Amino acid sequence: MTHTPDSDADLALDASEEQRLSEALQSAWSPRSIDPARHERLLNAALEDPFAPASPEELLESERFRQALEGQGEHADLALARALASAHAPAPVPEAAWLRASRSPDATAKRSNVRFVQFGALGAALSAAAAVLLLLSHQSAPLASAPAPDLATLAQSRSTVALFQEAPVASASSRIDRIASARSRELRDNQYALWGVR
Amino acid sequence: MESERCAPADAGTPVDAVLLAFLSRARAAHHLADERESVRDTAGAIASLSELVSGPLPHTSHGELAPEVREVLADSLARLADLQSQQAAFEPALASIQRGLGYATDPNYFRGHLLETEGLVEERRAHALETKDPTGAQAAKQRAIALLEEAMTVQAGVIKGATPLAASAAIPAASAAPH
Repeated sequence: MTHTPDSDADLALDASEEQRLSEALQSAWSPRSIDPARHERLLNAALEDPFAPASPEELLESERFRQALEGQGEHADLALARALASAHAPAPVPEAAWLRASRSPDATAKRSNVRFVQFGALGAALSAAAAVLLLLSHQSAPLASAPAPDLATLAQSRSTVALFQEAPVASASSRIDRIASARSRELRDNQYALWGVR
Repeated sequence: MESERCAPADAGTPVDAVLLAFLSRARAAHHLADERESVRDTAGAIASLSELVSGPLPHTSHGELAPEVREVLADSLARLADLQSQQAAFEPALASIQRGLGYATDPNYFRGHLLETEGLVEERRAHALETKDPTGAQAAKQRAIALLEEAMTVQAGVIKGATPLAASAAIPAASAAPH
């Protein structure tokens, strides 16, 4: 997916490509519901038994995917996961990259794989933006360009007293149950944020 | 449900797997203690909690313990002290309390609970000394009264400092159980 344009003309998309990309972004941002019958047909086509327990191969594949999300190894679906996450919750464009791209497209093109896409008639969600800057991942280092989460937005370690203000508990066991459950949820949220998929 | 507190003492690091490992270990230790208490195996329950409080602790990059770790240790040491005093091991019980107070330095529920438990330990010691050492029993009783009054003062401050909703519910079952 990397591309290094040499001129303004090279930055433009043809109408059909623009339309295809616009629809893809809109679908990622605000997906339409799917017809239940079609959904079932898709599941049947893709899976022999959609409700069967995961096979050893599926477990292995999911573990590979998890590791890839953490930056260990590669996975064929990683770029798609990043693209969907970025379309749904785009990270702020680094100021330096924005300035480089907006002031000197040619210079930018020589140093990075930044690309502007001008949209005509987009849906309400996308029409607010005059342009969308896509930072395309380099395939050999997919996580290098993933948006780094702001650590301040992660759940922080803190006093547990507030966990008991609305619903007191009588025993030490019940208190540690509540503390461990609450922090376990927060760890999961933090992990997804670090993976860049939430 | 949980409202955020932003006091400097609460400033932490992101919740991570190491913190969760400690909380998981603590949870397991307390449930083991529950099981052993349910069959009147007080020594076994003491062993479970002793293993927790003497085991590995997760430190932050600044070499400190996270607020959750300090509070869970304080709560665990209060329960341990209660169990130790049930076996008339009063000095180990008071040592557990003192260690717990070192973790619970803020005037919060956990500190109040430790003071309350220390008062109960002194009360038990007073009963144990009544016949063979009446003077020692009287001194232990006086310490118990002072500690229980101090616990009430701390918990009153906790209740007053809470939101109106929290105040009506009181903070974690302050006196319902010594553990």
